[in-house]
Amino acid sequence: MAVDAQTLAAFSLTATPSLATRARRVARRAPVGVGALAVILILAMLAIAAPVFAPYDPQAQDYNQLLHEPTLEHPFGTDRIGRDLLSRIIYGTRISFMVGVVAVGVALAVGTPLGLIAGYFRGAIDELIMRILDAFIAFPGIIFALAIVAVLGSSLMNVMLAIGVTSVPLFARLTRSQVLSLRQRDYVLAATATGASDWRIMVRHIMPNAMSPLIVQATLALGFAVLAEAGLGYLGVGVQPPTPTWGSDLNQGSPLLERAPWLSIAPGMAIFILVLSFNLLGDALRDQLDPHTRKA
Amino acid sequence: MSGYIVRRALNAIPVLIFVSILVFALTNVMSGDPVEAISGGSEASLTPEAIDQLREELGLNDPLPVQYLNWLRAAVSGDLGKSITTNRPVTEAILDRLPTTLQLALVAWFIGVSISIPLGILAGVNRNTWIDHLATVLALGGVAMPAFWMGLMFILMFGVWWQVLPPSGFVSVFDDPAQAAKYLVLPAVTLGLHQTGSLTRQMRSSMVEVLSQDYVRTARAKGLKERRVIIMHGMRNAMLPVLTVLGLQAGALVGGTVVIEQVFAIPGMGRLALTSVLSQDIPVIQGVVLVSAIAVLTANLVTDLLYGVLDPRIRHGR
Repeated sequence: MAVDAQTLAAFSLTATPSLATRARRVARRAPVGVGALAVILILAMLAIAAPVFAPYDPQAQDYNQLLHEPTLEHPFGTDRIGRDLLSRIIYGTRISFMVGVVAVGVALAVGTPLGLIAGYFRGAIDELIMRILDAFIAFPGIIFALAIVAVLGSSLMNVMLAIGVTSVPLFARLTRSQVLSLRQRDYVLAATATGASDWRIMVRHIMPNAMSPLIVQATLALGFAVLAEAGLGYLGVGVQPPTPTWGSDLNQGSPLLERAPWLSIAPGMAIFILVLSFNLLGDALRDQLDPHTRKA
Repeated sequence: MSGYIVRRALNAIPVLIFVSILVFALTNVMSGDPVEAISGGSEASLTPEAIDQLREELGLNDPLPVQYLNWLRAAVSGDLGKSITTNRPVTEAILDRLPTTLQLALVAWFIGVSISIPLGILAGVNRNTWIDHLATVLALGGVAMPAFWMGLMFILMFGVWWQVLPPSGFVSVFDDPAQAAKYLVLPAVTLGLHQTGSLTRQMRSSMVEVLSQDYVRTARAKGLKERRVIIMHGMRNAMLPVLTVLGLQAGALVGGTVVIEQVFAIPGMGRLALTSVLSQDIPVIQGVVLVSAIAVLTANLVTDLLYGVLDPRIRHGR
């Protein structure tokens, strides 16, 4: 079929869709994922510009409004020392995002290289790494995090580390399984044949192709980290008061469940919405990045 | 079969050794000076001779590997040391609390399984119908909702507003089964529902996968009743991957008891863990961490053995 150059040029021009068109296409294909992403971006904006959005200082105590139920003035009510709950929740977004990002960062930074090394070199080093990780997996996440915080003390940094460490085996195993299947591919064999170093093969040929499942898992792990931080905060061993966090607000609010249920309802909803959004986004990414599920 | 059991059990040994090293390292190496912990940070009140003597008694002057082996030898024979705050043997304190936590965990596990397996099967069989969508929503909600918050909301609804169930507390089944059931409903349902998310999703996708297999088409083609196709050909094969998830969830279940016991004021091992963390009672933390890890390893071992029973390919080394 003969196509003259002009038609071809015209075709390729119209065939490159604008960014807006592409965004619209993605939105049509994965409306839930795009919606979840929008919620996450809105909450991230609240976190970054908390002072702009929060109606009050999260620490300001209004002694005329102690344990006040939700009103127009305080839409989510006030706590036992008269602090505005809405403002505290808006500021709490900061801690949730920070813990999520740093914890997942730690898990990725430690877990991925471990999995890469284990899967690439196999043999004794693989066996050693995987058995140690098996031992890590045997500790229930929250109990392990509790133990770390107990030993190191409860600070924001230690909470982030503790949560990150509990997710290391997950990323290591995932990376390893990816590497095991990728290292048999022709292009990796070709790279080996041309004399590329192990390092170059791992970084240039294997890792880029192992990224998709890691991105999906990282998104889901963000949700897990937010949940874990809230859990530790609720148990009273997370980030310590007076820093506003969703978990510690629940820790302080829940003993007053009967008198002031709003103190327990709103922070829980906030956690639920953010975690659900991360999970929905992760699922949508999986569907888009994995051709198998896209077909199904 | 017995060969498989032995192989699998032997595999657990190096993991157990690493677990014990980790527990030892976590608490003995990272926690700094135990002498300081015992004297309550008031080391200044002790004479240097007294400190030396204490160190010698505790074996702290030995090299670390020797300390580890001594600790391990004692642990294997059931001696996990004494609580710093109550001076009670750790093993005794844990054994005291363990039955409570086991009751909670087992009932919760049962509730979780009996909701998610049927729901996952129904969703997989009736793909893209309202049942499927409902199951997806429930599963996503169950995963994203903090278990402790779900518990708080249940307390608020059933315990405070409608007052049909006690909001918190615990009665052992061995003391008064009727009362025990009443007290156990809310915590067990909370913890159980929390497990359903991933289980339901795994059961659903596994069912969808199996139902698209050739042998299912053959079963239908030879005129078997749909019921029989789904139960005998579909479900039985779809259960295998679900079993793996069940085993992996043992950890989440044990961990979940910590928060749930706190929410419902249940005096179990989880609460023991939390109070010992808050009071920096290192020997108790060490004991609880070790026991929960062994519980998880045992659950995984049982899962793998069951897998071997159900799937001959595994048993005979593929």
